[in-house]
Amino acid sequence: MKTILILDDEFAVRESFADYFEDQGWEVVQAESAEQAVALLEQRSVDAAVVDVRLPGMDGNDFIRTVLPGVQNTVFVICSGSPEYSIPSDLIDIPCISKTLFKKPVKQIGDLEQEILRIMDRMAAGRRER
Amino acid sequence: MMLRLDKVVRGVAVLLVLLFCVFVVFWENSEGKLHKKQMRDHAKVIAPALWNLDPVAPSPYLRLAAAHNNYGKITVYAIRANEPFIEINGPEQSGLSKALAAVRLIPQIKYRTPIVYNGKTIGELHAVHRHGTVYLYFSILLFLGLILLVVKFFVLTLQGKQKLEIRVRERTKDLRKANSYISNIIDSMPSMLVGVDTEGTVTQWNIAATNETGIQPDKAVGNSFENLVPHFKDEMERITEAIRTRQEQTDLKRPRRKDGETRYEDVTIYPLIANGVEGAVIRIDDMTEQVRLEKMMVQSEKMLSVGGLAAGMAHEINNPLAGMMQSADNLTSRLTNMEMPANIKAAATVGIDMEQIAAFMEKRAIPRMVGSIRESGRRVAQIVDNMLSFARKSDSQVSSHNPAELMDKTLALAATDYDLKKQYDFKTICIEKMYGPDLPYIPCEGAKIQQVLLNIFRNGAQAMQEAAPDREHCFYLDLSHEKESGMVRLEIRDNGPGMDEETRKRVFEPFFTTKPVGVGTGLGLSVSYFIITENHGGEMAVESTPGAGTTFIIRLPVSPKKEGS
Repeated sequence: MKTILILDDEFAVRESFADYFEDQGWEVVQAESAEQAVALLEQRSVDAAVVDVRLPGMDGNDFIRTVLPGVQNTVFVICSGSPEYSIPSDLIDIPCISKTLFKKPVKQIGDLEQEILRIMDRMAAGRRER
Repeated sequence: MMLRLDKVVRGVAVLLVLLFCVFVVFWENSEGKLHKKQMRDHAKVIAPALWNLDPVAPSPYLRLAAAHNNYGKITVYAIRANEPFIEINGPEQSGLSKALAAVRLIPQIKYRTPIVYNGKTIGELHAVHRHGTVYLYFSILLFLGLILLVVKFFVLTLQGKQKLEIRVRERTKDLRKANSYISNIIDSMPSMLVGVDTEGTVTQWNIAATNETGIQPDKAVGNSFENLVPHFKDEMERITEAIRTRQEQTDLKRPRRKDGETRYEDVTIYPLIANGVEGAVIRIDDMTEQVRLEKMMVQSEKMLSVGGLAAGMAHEINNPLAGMMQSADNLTSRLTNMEMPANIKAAATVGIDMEQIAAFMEKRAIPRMVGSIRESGRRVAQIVDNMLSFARKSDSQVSSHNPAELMDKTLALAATDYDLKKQYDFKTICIEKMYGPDLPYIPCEGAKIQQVLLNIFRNGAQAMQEAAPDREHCFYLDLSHEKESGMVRLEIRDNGPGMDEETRKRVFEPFFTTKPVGVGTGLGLSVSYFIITENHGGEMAVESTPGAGTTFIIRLPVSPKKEGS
């Protein structure tokens, strides 16, 4: 079963993502802060993570920077409600991070899921080649 | 002309002198002949008396002859006699004649004639003639001198007149030149300039005034200012005041209705303070554009602060909105998706059929309600997004853009942007591109120019599809490089309904909208205008005729302007 981490401080948003992915047959783990998510990823690995940017304490960018060296095949999708946000330049070219920034409210979560699956496939193909 | 007159005088003088000389020669000659003849006559008369040796009888005659002919002395000699037979002295000479005679101006000419009696010469008649023609000559010379003087005087007068005329002509020419120069300056002024005297009668009327009022200068000058420009009736007091106090009077941004729109004018009255001149100059400047721009800038500033606020709030709004809308989406799929395993499993657990649930939902219009939530949420999201478009000034970045690329990108944006809103599908509109060759890159903020273009497309698409939903709609895009002015011209023409004059004039006004309340903010084009003219130092204009489509013309400078951001 594919697993996904939903990192968002807003309960309703987190739940709405969780509900969707559960319906689509994913195993969902949730975190309401980056610190919590870092702790969680030390316990277990996930296939994908939906990461909010503005968070209390550590923000989404720093969360990715923190966990990136320790994870192998996790796909990150950044999702923000902030209009001025854009993906930082040090993160945008990393293959496991989606280049597409999803703005909240996400119009079709299906698109977001497709993006995750696409990157997962690409990474799997890359591993096979190696 | 002057030289010729001088020659005339000299010629006349020479001619007169020549004539005088000829006259003198002729006169002297004829005088001599006359006197010789007279002497012969005298000799005839006295011959018998000499023959008879009677000295008494001829004496009276000789006295008369001497007096008559102005002889100084007349003497009769008998032949071979040394003593005079008769000697008669002429009349006493006047003092003047004596003096003249002394300087030989009256010469004494001696005449001799033989006295003949019966064919024999019996004696000789001598006479000394006091030749007084000098009086005659003097008179003539005097007369000639007078004539010459008159001629000279006449010529001098004529010359003076000529000189005067030439000078007057030159001065007139200079004056006319100066006058036309001043008129030129006055006419070159963009302001309406009107000179008035103390009575308010127009003395000066420049081209701007003619253009503004349609009254020609020759019709205006001499007429009362308030009659010519009736809406200035209440300014007459100011004019009088300005002249009386010699203080400039100003009335800024004076509103007035003209052709159904409000125009603003700055009116300044300058008193004429040069000595001996009473009056004033009225200067009127049309400030409508400036007032409009100021209003637009205020509006734009307002929108920027709204935008700043919106940017801060957007995050706060978007998050709950995400919770709401994303949950609504989940709600829909959980309630209506009959294939989803999780749904089927849950239904089985509580012992209900998915069909029954669906039927119940349908009956109670739950999907419609959830749809309403989604639609409302979508609108909130769009409002936030629109407000943000004003906030994005801070990240203004000018870089080089290919105008054709900008246009194409915007078209792509419009095509995707519009399938969201099913009201008008941008993809059904045909696009005809006429991109000129060698279009230069233009320094601009790509996103902003796209925002402007998108706005025009949005308005155009909406107008075309609303006016005639069934006909084919087209955008004609004409891009060209105006090398002379150093501008790139982006022209967007549609075949929509066009607009009337009143609308056309106001399209760039803030909050002017033809759309129903709630559909448009009326800010799109005014912000576009602001972006083009203020941020990029370009020009934006609209041309339209009702029924014949609308053309938006944007001109952007190829080299960056200093005032641009």
